[in-house]
Amino acid sequence: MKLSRRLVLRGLGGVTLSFPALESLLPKAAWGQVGRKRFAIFVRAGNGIVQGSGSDPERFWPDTPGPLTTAGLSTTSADRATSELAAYASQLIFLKNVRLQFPRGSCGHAEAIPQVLTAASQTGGTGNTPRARGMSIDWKIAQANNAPGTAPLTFMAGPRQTYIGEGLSWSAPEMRTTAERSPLNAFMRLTGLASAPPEVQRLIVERRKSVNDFVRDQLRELSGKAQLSANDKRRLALHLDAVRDTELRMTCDLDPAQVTQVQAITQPESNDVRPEVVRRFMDLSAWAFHCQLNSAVTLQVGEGNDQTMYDVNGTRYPRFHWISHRINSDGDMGTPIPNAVELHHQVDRLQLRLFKYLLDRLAAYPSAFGANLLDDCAAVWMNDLGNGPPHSADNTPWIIAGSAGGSLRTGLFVDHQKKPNNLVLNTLGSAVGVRKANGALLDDFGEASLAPGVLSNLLTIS
Amino acid sequence: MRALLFAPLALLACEGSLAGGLIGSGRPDDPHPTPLEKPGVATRVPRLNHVEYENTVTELLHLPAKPNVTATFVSDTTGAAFDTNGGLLNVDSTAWADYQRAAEQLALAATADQAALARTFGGAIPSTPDLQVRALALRAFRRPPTDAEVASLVTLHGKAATLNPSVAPALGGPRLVLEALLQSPNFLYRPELSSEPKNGVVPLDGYEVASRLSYALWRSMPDEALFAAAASGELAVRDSYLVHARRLLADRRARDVVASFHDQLLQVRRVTDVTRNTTLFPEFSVALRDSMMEEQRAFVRDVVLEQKQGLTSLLTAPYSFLDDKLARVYGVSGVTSFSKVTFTDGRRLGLLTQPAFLAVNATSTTSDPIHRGVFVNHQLLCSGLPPPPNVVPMLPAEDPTMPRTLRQRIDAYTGRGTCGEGCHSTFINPIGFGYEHFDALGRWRDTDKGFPVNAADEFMFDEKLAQFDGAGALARAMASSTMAHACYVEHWLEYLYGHRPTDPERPLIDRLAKKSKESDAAVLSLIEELVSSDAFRARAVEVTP
Repeated sequence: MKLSRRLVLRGLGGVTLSFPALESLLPKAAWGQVGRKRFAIFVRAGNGIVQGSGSDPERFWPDTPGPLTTAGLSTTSADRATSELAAYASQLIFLKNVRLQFPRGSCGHAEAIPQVLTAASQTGGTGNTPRARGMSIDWKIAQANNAPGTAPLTFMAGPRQTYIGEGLSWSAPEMRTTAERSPLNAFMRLTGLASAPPEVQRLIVERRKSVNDFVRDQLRELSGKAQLSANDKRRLALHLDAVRDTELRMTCDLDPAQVTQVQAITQPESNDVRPEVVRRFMDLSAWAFHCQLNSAVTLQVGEGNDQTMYDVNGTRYPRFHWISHRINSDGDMGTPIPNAVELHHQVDRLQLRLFKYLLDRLAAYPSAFGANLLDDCAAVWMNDLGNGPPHSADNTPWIIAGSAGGSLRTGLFVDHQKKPNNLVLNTLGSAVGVRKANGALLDDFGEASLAPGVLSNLLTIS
Repeated sequence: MRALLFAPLALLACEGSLAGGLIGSGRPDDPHPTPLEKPGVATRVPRLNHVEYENTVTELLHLPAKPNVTATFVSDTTGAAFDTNGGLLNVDSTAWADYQRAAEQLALAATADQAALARTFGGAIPSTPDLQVRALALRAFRRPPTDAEVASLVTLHGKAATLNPSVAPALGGPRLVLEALLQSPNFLYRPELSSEPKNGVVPLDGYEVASRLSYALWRSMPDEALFAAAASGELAVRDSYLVHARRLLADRRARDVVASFHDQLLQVRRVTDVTRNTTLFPEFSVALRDSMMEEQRAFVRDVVLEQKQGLTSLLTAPYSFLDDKLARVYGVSGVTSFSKVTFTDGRRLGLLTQPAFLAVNATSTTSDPIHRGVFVNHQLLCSGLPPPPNVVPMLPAEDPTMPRTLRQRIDAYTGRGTCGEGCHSTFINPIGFGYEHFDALGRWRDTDKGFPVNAADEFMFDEKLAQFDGAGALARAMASSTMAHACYVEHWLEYLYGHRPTDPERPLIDRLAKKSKESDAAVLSLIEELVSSDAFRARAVEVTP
């Protein structure tokens, strides 16, 4: 399908708010409150990182915990993957050695991904079978910050048919949230047009646009009648606003070039467009935050055991999962992949360049409170495994960007010392505004057996 | 108090305006003198409420039944006494989304195929887009579309081929036009834009009058005859206008208006909140609620539409319509299904001795003279009670060592010599005490807490103290008062005119109140007079702020 620039400029944005489906998305109640709006996005990579565990060299983190600076990351730590984020050093928190508390010992991927955002144990099994026994933090945030009934956005860059599919987002114990694989479908859904094929949706948009043009003309003509009272004119102005909100929404709509990029992806599950799909979902996430369509997003990059064959610096790499095993196999027997650790490191860099793309997108939108939208966010990158072989889960890497409206103390590299991830989730949830019933910070998210608490050294609030 | 402020004025000669022509010049020699009944200041763009919307799309699209599209609309909440106050209805983004969705659904159904399209046009499908647009817009806007509007809609019609290529243009064109029409402000509102003053008012044009009349009496759009009369100028001639007013009033749709008015005036839906302990009230059941509502509605239908009586009968008719469940409450035997039962003991007369009023205005265990009194003051007497104080302390609990009737307790707490004297002992309590022979479910009782019921009191009707003993005598006293008749007319004016009555409309209210009281004028004749008044067919020169 082809969405014209005219459609972008005058159509899609021009009808967004008028769609019934979108009306229900608008978080009037939550965002009508006085106070800063905060957002959270969780970008997940798989297969672990090269971070000095086992026989791997340290190629991810700076050498020592402490303050982060752009200069330090880009010079002293230039050979580390995190140097890709040097430009945002003062807005970052590096958190190493975060423990996923409930490994089961059969398949690290299948067991890690359900608990990374839930801090909950999972049901048994392999592949897609394991299910988290708790809600994920994106849902908790959505319940706190979205309009009632508005689910968080759940995206995945990866194939539908796969051994381990999406597993980050859980609306309730054992209730997996299906991820959207197509940026175009996600875009259409956000604009209330998801129930029909894309071409039909485009025509619906254009028809509504044409009808709205007529309605606006009529409203303006009627409003201009001298015989109307000021009160009548106010009533009609309210009506006109309801129609015209969509045009006002243009100021926060996707850049036309980005919409063109969204609609250019016709096979979103294809390996060859995986980084493109990731970037488009990041475009949509930043746009959704800016437009206040949602406050929580998860974006899963690749399958549970990411099988993407990435292109790095013009070279097509073997399957990433194989690289992470250092052999041409999903198991533990196969021919070695030459220079596999370096390839893994390069994929780590690629993943963080993708994350940096998100930070760029967030930073490109203004904020009513800080310098830009990134200041209002907790943008999180994490890997649900700690390393290649043996795919451990007690040293997962987490990177947090943005201060969540000043709630987080940034510019720090912290060793979490293999403490459970529930503390991180409590901290992130609290930072973006989730509170317990008594008004206290969220400190008890996740499985009840985990000790409650927050990372007070990262929080500016209490 | 409103009743005192609106005491009958010496302006009753304005009855002559009905016999005269349209808006006169005001000169002494003018055969059509300036009417004393002037329109009140009101909105020029009343919005259709959901009932009106539902009815209108049914008529507009010639649907065989109401499509029920408004069932999922966000509720209209105006805070007004009646849902017809279109000046308080707005279109915000939520309502707009509802309208958009409904328009698309309705347009799709109306143009599903050639047969549906033919039905939508009421017969033959006009041969050109121009003719189709004119036919549809005339009915949707309830006036002929302007040339510019036709041009815009014809352009829209032509876009269907590209915007809806999977649908044959013969269907897609009208569909797109209908989507636009159903979302147009000229459909969703009833703009009254006539602007030429004449003798201190602005007469409405024929189409505006036609819409006012049809929405007042049918809660829907004009029919073909009314459109034709508007086009021909017929409605500017009083006799012709009256023919149409009477025609509409005789239609079944006017019966719904009568029912809707009384439902809202008497707040009959509150019956659904009534619950009672079946140990204390074995006659109560959930099904009894339906019977209570149906009793009130059947009574209103009979008095107003069948017997063609007025307010006096509504207040004092010695009968009602009971089924077996109600018969148990009434203590009447031999009733198996809804039928008319006449009371000969004088205990029950009219609407206000029916359980739909008595049980709603009661607690779960006892009668509630205060709320019964407040309700009657507000809804039946328009006595203009001020709002209660912010903090209303509870009635002190019963003292088991000193048994008293509920009346005695209320009197001790709010009667003369207490802080409640101003409103309670003067306005609220006397009326409420009149119903003390009826318990929390509306059953008759002679005693309360072992003491004889005292239902006697006095009330200032029309600046004259009237004494009564019991609900029957109270009903007769009310029916004899100008106060009650003026209140009833005032409510009807608000309902039919779609706004709270204003000072210029006071002469009309007073004239009809007098007529209602002195000749027990039929409710239908009051309605006819209200929609036949010059005030109904004009708007004020002034605009609301």
